[in-house]
Amino acid sequence: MYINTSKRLALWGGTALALFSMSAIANAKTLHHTAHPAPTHAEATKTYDVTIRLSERGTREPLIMATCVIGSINAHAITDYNGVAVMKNIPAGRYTVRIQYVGFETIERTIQVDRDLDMPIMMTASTLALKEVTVTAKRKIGEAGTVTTIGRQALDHLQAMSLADAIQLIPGQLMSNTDLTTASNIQLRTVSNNSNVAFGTSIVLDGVALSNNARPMQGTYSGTNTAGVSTDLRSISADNIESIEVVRGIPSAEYGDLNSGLVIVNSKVGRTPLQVRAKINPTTMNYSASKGVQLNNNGGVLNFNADYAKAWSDPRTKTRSYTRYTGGVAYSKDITRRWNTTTRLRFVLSRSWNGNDPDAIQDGTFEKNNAYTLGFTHNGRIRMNKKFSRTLNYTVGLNYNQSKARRSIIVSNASGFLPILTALETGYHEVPYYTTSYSASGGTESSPGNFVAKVDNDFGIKAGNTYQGFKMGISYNYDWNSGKGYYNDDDSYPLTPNNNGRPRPYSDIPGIHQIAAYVSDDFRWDLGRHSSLKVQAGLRFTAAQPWKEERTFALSPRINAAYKMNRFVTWRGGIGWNSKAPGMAQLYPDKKYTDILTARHISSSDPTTNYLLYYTHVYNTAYSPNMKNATTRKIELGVDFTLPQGRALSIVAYHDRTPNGFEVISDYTTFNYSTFTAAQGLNITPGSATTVDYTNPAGTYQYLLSKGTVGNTAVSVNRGIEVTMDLGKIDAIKTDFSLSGAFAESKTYSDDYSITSPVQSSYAYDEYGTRVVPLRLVYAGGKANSMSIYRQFSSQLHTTTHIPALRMVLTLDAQAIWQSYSKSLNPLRYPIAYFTSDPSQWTMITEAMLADPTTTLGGTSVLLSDQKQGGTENSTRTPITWNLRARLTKEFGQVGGISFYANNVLYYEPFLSSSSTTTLSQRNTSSYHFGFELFFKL
Amino acid sequence: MVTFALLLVATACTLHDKNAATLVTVKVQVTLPAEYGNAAYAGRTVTLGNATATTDANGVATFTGIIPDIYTITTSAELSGAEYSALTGNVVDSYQYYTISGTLSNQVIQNESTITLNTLSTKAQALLISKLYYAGTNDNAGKTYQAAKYIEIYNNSANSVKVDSLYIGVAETNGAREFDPYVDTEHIYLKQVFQIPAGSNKVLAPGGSLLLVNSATDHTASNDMDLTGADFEAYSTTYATTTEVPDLTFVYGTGSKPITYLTLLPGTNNAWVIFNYPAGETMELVYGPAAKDKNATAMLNYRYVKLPVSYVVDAVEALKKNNSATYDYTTTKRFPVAIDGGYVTVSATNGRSGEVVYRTVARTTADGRIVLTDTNNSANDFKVGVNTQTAKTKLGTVGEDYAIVTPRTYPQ
Repeated sequence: MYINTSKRLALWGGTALALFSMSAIANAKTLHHTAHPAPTHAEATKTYDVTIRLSERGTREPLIMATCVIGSINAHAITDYNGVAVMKNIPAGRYTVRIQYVGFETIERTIQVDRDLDMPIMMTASTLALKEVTVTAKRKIGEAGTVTTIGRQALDHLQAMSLADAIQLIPGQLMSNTDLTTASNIQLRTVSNNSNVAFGTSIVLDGVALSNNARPMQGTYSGTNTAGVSTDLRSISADNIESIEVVRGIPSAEYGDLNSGLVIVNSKVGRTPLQVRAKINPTTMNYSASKGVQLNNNGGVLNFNADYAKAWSDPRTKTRSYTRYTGGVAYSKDITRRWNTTTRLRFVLSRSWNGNDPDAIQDGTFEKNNAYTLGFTHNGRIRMNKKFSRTLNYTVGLNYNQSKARRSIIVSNASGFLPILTALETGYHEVPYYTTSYSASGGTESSPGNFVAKVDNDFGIKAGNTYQGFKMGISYNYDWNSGKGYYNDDDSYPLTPNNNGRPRPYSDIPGIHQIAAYVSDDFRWDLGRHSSLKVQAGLRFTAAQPWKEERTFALSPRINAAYKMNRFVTWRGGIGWNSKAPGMAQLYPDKKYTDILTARHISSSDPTTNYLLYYTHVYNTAYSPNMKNATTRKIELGVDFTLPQGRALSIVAYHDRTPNGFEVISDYTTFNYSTFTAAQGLNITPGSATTVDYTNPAGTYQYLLSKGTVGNTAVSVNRGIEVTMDLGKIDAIKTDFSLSGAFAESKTYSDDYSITSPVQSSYAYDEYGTRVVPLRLVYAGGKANSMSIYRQFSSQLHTTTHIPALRMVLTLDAQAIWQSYSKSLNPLRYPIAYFTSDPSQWTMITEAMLADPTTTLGGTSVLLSDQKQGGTENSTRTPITWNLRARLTKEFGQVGGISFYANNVLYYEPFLSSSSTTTLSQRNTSSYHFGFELFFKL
Repeated sequence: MVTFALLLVATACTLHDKNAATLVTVKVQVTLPAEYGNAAYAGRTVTLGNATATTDANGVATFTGIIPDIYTITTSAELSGAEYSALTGNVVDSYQYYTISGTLSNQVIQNESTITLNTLSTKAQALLISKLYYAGTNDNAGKTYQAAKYIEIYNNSANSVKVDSLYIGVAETNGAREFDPYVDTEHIYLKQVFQIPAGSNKVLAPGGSLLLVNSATDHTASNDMDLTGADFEAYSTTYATTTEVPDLTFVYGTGSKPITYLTLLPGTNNAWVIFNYPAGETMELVYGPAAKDKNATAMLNYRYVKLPVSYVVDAVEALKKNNSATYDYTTTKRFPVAIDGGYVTVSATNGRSGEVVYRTVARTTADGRIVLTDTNNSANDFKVGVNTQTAKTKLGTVGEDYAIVTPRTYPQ
């Protein structure tokens, strides 16, 4: 077996990437061998050329820049100026060829290659006059993993204004209103709001992942900070999107730096009429125009798009707004017959603003953020037509974003005593204080940039009834931030005068290099006319900061398999590991500033003697030590039933486990400080400034400090079942029914120890009220000790009434949330260890010590029986709620049309109580929404 | 009323005409209640009509040259706690005073006689919480300002009172009441206790007041009071506590890190009490019912001083304003009706209105001393005023005239 496998490996040993060969592929191939003891050798297979001549139905005009793909062997071709695409050296066999072109219905045709083929193919423009339309998200058939595609018609019918709106079409996601005034991210297959899931979702726009790695944080790391989540989806306008693929299951090894989900967004490329769209709803308006022009003399195709959107939080109180200008140019050009390129430039300017209602009293406070993004991508595809290099794909991308957040606030001073802590160095600092509130301004300038280069070699091998599409590639990624970071306009009037308000220049943070290499093999074995086995296996190696101490590595294998038993039943399953490298926010947390009051003298009669002295300790971690990638193991198991008359049932169960998500960990260090009082250490002379005698402190104390570094201890387990059922069409009422449902459970807990100060009947304080605790107690973490559980069961029934003669589609969606449940497990527990002056030296606490009321820990008397944590268990079950949505699209001939939608169309906002309280609270609030769209194709 | 007065005058004239030349001497023997034993009511003033006389060592007041007529004879005196102890031998605390009063109405005097005037002795508290400023205000930038809040304590008696060791406490303020004062009417539960430092020798003259603050500085820059003349500060690092003004003694605070300043909270209940606690006795700490199922750290937030109501000198309960017309304030009351029959509330739900609750003036004595109303019911005894002009305009109710309240002045 082993020798056999090695021999086969020699087949693709010609590529450097054979180094990354792994057992998954080997096994897949072995399986093939076992089944076919005498395989046809690849070299022996005859090859033919397949020529596709593409034209538009009706006009018979050739279609240029259409993509033709034979997926199973990675053969690609793009139609030329005459609408002709040639796929050379196709091994004899049965294939599915897929032809895609913007604004046209995608064609999938099965071909039998046993001679040179020359196929004239006509494509039909997508309109509602066609017999079939797709206005809902569809599960991609034939894929081993769970992939949902959202096409242009579905986006139109939804009246999506940004990528954020489109996500609600995915099974398990709930209906939502368009709201451009708040940032949004994607969290797939989780019920609890989990920033690690958002951070681990990759959004790939035209082949380049929109990186979120170069977004550092000022202050303590927090998962709720936007830097720790994914790219803001609002900045991607929906009108220029041709299609969206959402991979909830195990993605191909080609895509990396993600651990929870993958969203692939393809923008429009190709000759299109001028399209003008105007969308309006009570809070938002969005106008866009796009056109694709074919240049003469094989000069390529140029696509333009422009988009403007403006949103207010509420038309009555304009306290929040968002404005977005998007412009883009895409140029597709065949440099040679074999070398197709697409070059895109994308520009987004967005402005968000928070402030006082224009009708309210103006006090000069506001918050605004002007951000622009400049994106450049160049994708090329060279058809090598070699045995081990059929297609060479490459991508070069550069994204630069500059976000200038400005804030003007009045810093309140309720206590009339506000020390202004601004020291940046460790030591004693005399600190001024203010007695009144003051105006402050400043902001954050973040300029994340990202450079990507990626080369990928594809080839296919046919052997007997088996087909293999190999993909192997390497990529390099560099993320940097050249921004000024967090700053105050005047450091003596800081925005946050407490210890969390220190400036942080982002340009000081090291850039992040990532290199990756991957191989994947799409294996198909035709077992019979209606029976096949598909295996998609892959291995990805990634290294972040490979030349630095803080380097992280990951080797992520994955395998997906689909076994089509017969025409009706397909079984599928997979297991895969995906890893997300830490970004700047996790790898390079901000310095931790601790400020302790060490002397204070305030005199109302002699203010010249007033004196305030703080000891500032700056804990500067160069990087979070021992960081690992957050790695999710995904397991999927499903079955698809394909029934006649368009009926289908698909059930998939998934289990995603991330044992090492990012969170702040309990890591302690110590420092000492001294206090000075009027009696000892302070020299107070009436009429002159107070001085301090550092050699004569009133007391010296040790402080135990949590460093604020980030680690890999956040655990999340998401599992569930997703069901989609196509109930088929009732022709008499021209209505299609489909049902989707998802039961999802999310469990989150921390594997970190929980470290606290002991509870004592009386506490020791220093002279200025800082508690002096010489020790910390350690409590065990993990799911047995504290865990949150969320469950949600929701379903949506979609009815689509499509009347081609009227060019009209009406959809009614009914959503029910049958169960929404949350529970926090928090059993009673006692400390397991303690430490004193050396945080690395833990002393275990025994049962006997717990029981003994006279126990002292490091010389401090602590009543251990009092040191209990937890002992509570709360669960809340919210009542069943439902929501109805209606959408209508009508086309007027070829020139344009209108759409209308109403969310919560019955205005159902009941008062219902949850299981944990008898208080009635209103459900479905602000879900009532409606909007209108007008569009033209000229 | 007028008719009745005329009738009286007419009657008097008739009598006067009959016995025009006979002036008589009248002796009034004032007898003290039984608790005074054999003690005499010496050196006190007795009034007979318009005439006054001072009692001798035996408690007898002698009036000479009295025209026979119908007279009202009265006497009234305030005894400080010390004087009462001296007369009765009973040990009492120094914050109580005793009023001895007796009246004989329509006493007909026709010839020389000795009249016995029986008296009653009533106990009263000398010290009152006269003002509570817990609402705070908005500063000139419209931001909350809470540093100038204060408590004022007033000597409502005719005698000087030494306030050393007086305790000041505040009831628990949890969202849901921990202890129902209609169930346990014998105790109140305090989350914070301060004490006037023993040995400070602070004496309040009759009509004198004591100003307790968190920051004895000038807060006028933030649209609030100048408190530089305060008597005591609660020391904290939260507020600017000065070196000049002595600190209150911090006795107890609930919580794992007890708050050491006076928790005068703008948007909640402020039930304050001044009390006396026998020296040498330890205050009892109890867990509130909400501490059940809490972990050790949290439990510390539910431990209160259990104080018998008999130790209370004065109490005032200011409840959080609720805008519902049907709201039942008794569901949030912390003090039994025996020590405060009612409650007072400022007009703003969440405070920040500059409003002060202050005790109204009952009367002004002949020597100009203001006596404040004390019926043990804050609903009757207190009114709401504001202490800053800005806050007053913000309250903005047209036609409603708020009294301007500053520490140590009493709107009439």
